[in-house]
Amino acid sequence: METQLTINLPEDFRILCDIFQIKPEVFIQKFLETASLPYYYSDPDCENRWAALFLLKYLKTYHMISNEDFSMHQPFLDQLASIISIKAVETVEEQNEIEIRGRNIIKKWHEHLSTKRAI
Amino acid sequence: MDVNMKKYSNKRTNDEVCTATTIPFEFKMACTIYNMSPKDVLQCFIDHVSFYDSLSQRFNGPYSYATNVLISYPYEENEKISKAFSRNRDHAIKCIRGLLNLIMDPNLTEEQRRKKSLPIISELHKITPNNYIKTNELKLDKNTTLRLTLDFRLFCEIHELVPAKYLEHFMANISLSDISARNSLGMTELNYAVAFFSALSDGYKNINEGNLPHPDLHFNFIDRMQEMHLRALFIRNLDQKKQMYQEVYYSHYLKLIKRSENYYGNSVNN
Repeated sequence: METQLTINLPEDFRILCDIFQIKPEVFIQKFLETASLPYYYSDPDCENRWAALFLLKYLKTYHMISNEDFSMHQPFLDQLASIISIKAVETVEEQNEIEIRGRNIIKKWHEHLSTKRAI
Repeated sequence: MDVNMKKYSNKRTNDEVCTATTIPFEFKMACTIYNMSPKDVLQCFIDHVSFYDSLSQRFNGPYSYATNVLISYPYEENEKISKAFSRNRDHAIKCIRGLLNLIMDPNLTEEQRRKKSLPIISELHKITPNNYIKTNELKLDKNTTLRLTLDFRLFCEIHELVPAKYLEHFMANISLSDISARNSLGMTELNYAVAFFSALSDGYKNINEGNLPHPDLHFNFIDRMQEMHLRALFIRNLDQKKQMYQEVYYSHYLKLIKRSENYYGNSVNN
């Protein structure tokens, strides 16, 4: 899905992009590609985990689910919790399976919320 | 993990008075991570149990925490009236009244009150039988001995419990993974044992000798923990969350132990 964004590029970021000849849109695209919870949970110690951790930190700081809304989210949070592991996932097949499971859970969660919010 | 502790019958026998208690693994791990010896933590805990504070409504920091650990002990519901003062009831009441008067005296500072309470506690102790504590020492193991204070002994005699019971109760409440999991779920109920342990690990009484050893391991551990808080963000189940933290703490503990063994091993060889 493509979308047009109007964002303010802070001076520090802009200068750094200029020094290293980075196109801001390329950088942001890279960031967004790994800001994925299914991807992160499939291999939480991978080198590309930082965007997902930034996303989680953002959710933790600004968007924690309130107690009133909790029952609406609980079944999906529980399902998501079931794929979170502390130990490194050993095979690529296993990683792929977790990523697909995670993506399906989040899609169903999204569908459920969209229906609820439309009412 | 071996969290089994020796079970003590509360029945009075000479063998059971002042015998050692097994240190639960979670407690030992917590002490290692914060570079405190279990002996020092337990001794500090005993030293801060205060009969004076058990009667006072004031909050006195670690004294209140340690004392409340004993007050919140899961005593049997049908606990009978203590026989500790049955022979000297009037004298005991006089002492306790003296303590209450001290507590309510607005002209004294907390320090003065505590100081003035000492001879009364000592007096109270003189008329208390030594049924549950025969000596003022408790052997933790072959080489480690804890000193039991008059206040601590009073609690044991009044509640008719061997000291190991109280120490087990304190230690059983110290689990770093449980603390982290509860904090992360916003479960903020006050746990007095944890509050006391945290005061020590934060530097109270300086028993963790200032800096933690092996700073590189600690920095890695802090990084790992920060990530773990985020990784476990969606886990709402206490046990699952606890299990995740337990793995992180355990892995850090093993690294610390291994490094210490290597360090001391090399030192000896050199």
